[in-house]
Amino acid sequence: MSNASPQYDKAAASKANVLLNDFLDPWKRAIIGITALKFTAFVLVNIQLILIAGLISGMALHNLSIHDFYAGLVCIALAGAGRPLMNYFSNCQSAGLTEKITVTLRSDLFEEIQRGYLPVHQDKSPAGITLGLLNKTEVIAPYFTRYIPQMILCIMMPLAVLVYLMTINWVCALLILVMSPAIPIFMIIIGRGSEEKSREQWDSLAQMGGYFMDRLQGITTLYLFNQLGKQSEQVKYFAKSYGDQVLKVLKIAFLSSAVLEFLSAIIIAGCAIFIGLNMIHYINYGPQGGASLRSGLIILLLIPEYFIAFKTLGNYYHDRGHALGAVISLQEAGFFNTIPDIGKQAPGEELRDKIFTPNGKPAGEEDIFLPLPLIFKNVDFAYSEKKQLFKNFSLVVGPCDKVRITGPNGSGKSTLVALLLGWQKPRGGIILLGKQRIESLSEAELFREISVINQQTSIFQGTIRSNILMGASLPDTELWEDVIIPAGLHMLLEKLPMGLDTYLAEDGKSISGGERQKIALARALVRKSRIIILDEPLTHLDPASAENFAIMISKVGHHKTIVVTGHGEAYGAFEEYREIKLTAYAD
Amino acid sequence: MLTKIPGIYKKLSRAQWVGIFLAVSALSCGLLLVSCSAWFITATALTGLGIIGLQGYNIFLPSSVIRFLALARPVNKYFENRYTHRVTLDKLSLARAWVFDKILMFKKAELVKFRSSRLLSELINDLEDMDQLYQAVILPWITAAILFLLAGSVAYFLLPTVAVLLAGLFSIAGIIIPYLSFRATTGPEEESLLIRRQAHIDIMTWLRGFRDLRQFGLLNGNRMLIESKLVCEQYIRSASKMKLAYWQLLQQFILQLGLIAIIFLAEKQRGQIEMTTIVLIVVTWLALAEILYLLPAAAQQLSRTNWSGNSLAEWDKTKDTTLAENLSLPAIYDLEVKNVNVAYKGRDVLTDFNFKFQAGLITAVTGCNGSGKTTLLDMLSGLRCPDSGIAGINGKAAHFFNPEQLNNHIAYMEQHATLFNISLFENIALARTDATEREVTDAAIRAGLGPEIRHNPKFLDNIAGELGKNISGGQARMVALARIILKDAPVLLLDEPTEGLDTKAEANFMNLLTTWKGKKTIVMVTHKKALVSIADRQCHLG
Repeated sequence: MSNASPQYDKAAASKANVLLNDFLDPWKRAIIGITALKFTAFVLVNIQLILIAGLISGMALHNLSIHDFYAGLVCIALAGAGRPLMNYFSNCQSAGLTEKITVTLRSDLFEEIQRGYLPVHQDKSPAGITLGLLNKTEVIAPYFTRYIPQMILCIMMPLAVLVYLMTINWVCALLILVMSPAIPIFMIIIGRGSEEKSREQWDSLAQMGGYFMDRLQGITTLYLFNQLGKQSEQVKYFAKSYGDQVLKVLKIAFLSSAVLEFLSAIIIAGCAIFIGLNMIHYINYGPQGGASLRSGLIILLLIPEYFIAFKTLGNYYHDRGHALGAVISLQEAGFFNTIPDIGKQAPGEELRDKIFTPNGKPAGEEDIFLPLPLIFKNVDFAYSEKKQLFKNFSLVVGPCDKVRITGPNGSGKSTLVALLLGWQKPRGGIILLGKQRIESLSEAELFREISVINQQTSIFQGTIRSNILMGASLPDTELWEDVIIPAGLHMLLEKLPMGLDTYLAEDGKSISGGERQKIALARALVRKSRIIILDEPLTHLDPASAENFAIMISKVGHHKTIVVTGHGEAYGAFEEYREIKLTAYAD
Repeated sequence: MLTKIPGIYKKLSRAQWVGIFLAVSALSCGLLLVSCSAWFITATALTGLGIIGLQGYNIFLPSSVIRFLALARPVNKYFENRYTHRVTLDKLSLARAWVFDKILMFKKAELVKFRSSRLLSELINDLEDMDQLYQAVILPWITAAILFLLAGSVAYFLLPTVAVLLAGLFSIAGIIIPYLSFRATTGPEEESLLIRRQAHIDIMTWLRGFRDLRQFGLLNGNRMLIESKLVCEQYIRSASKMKLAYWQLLQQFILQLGLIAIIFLAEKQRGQIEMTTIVLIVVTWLALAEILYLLPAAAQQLSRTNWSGNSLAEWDKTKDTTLAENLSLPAIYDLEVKNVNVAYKGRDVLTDFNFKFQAGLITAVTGCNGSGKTTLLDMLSGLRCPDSGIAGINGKAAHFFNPEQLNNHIAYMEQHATLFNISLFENIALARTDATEREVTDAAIRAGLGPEIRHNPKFLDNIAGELGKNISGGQARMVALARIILKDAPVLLLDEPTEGLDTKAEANFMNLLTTWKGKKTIVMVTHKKALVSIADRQCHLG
């Protein structure tokens, strides 16, 4: 049992990079703020180290008055107090920014899901999207709050140290400078090599989780086929090979950080020995003032500070890999492919919300009018070039027409419904509701006319009443008369002691499939829609419930247009409907 | 605090101790490098100025020690990194295998609970949190403790008061403050994880109910609710980070005070001890303090792992139940349910239910949704126990029999066809691992995958994808059916075998059923009239 590892190509990586750069814009100021605070803390550390070196050398050489000593100590304490404060402020800043970025990203992603999540695309599993929304958005923020500030600091911090050392002892500064070309190489290793590698690591991490999940969710199946005993061995084996893979990736990172350690250690040792030998006049080279105890200690204490920015970057380098990996996988799932306007809501959206607020009145004032006709005119549709689903398809569903759409699996029954609701765009031809084209109608206008009942109706946490009303308001007497009795729900409600106030748990496990569909019908009745579309409504029902439900539909459907899709014997109850047979095009 | 964490995480293995040893030695190399260099510079400077004479010291020994340390430190660091990561990864695989071992010990009747995807994602999140325990929590803390112990004992010989100071500072900055930051972040971390779990469920509901919500214009409203939960989660987390930042601030203040105290002590002792020692102590302290700075963050990580560890601890309580289930199957048997009662979430599903599924006959189980059809099959296969009564074989409950033998005799096609993310061929072949390629392909063709295989001879090599997302629901069902065919068990339990199949595939299944008739004991849940008419008997529920 092996899983092939998906390889991300360069194009995907650069696309993700573009997106990350675009995200950077609104946060620029906050990021610069964090960087500035961190840099100030760094400067304070260095000042403190210089002061300490001065004080100690003064103590050692006995040329320090007690007054100077206390003054020095106070200065050290002041610099020492400044550093924690700066760190505190920058930590708070970056915590706040992380929060802001994650929330914004999630909101944008939500927006995109809402716009683009077409239930026709069954391959987009809710579980995958949920994880994307929660976990993947979370790993992006550290890239902005840790990685980017550290990148900037990587230029500023060493430069500051180098300039200062130059003024003290140019030989040591030169030594550092000579050794420094290794640093850009190190950065390139980190930047290029391990970027890809760390993405691979991210991949194999996801793979590990996926593998484990895959086996766990099928545990009853494994048990039933006596395969469970083998699994624990296989999990061990897979995890081990996963570990090898990860370690291979990490080796590069370890090696590059070892190179850095080596450079820093060599420079410390080199400078220490050079200064030491200079001071006992074993060698006589370099600036005269540079060979004092004070300057020697300063150099010694500041050299590690020269490298500290790179070391920290080495700790954060995987932030970038994780962020890129997350963006790439989100983009592959179809999100963030256009740059979202952060913080800006599409103007149409707001308007739509106004028209269609949950507490607004259910549209149905024009009750006395007949339903609008539905017209498909020469519609072409295909999911891919190879597989043409509809060609020149025409259909007229007149007012109060009763239509039944049949055909084998994959002949396009559900696609027809999706086209009708504007969830899919036809490649050619037009679809009209009355005189208006479907795509010119807003969702609110469309759903004022049309109610859809799907294979499986979703039940939401709340009372039965709220599940029927779905945000509309209707007095109970009217609800019973116009909705509950016609939908055949009174039998259920009379059995329940709490009646309409019975609380349904999430996913509505306590009510049967037949009752679910009746609730869906009741929802349509509440809204007084004149066109009801039933997309394979009987799939999850047993024969008795299916028959019962079909009768209910016929009863309430007198002054309504009804379109039913579905095949199989259960749909016999809709026999007298006009049948439209779809045939599957061969590929 | 850590008592509730599962056993496998609690005890440090030898490898983990070796990792700690490597970390200690890498850190002390670094410490020694800086302090030796400082000592060297001071000693040479004082000699150069004639304050002390270096004749007692060999210049070349310290300088070669410095050069040695400069080499040893990076090498040591490299191996520490490799080793500790290796240890972490080993632990990771051990933990995964541990979960599976525990599952093996489960009462088989509890396995059905894994059909809930929520439980699974929680379990995986918990495990991933626990993977961090060693490297992010244990390693830095123990390493810091050991280093302080070492430094303290060295300091004791040089300047006893410094040793006392070090002990005091470590207990405040290394133990008390990390503990306080652990305490301060535990609440928020728990809270945010709980909210996150809730939001997880909410998002799933939102996506599942997407069409209906959209129709009623409730998409935005419900989204706002979920988003506000997510905002809360983030807010709590950032508040927790700010609390951590506060404790870090306090810790750093205390460590700065420690620095002042050490310099002050050194000044007081200036006459008694050598100046080189004073430099040594101050420089070493600067490096030691840097190690302590990391500890509050480790404590925050601990509060996260602690929570996950507690929820994983439940697994430790799993008792080995494998021995209890070891009756051998009789040669001829009927499946039987006697006086069975089952309730689900407070609703009676089966009450005092009796039925005998005779050997060699096809029994069709019918009934409305929620009348307990799937529960009945689960009980017969030993995946679930009735609340009272007996469901099993010849009057004995199914879960008393040797599960392996039972599974060899009973082939159960579950309601949801579970496909693993391996090729379709392997998916079918797991029913009988000794089957030849020919047998597997035959089973697939008999199950109705013939047209696909004819169209594309490599069809069975396709990878099923996560949860079988690469193939259609009908095809997944046929794969599940092919498993049953390949297994060729005398008893078949079929849960809605034709659901989601089109007419052609359904006809194919009917043929298959007729060939089995009279040869196998079949219990079949179905709504289809045609299938009920083939059955010898009917069992109506509800």
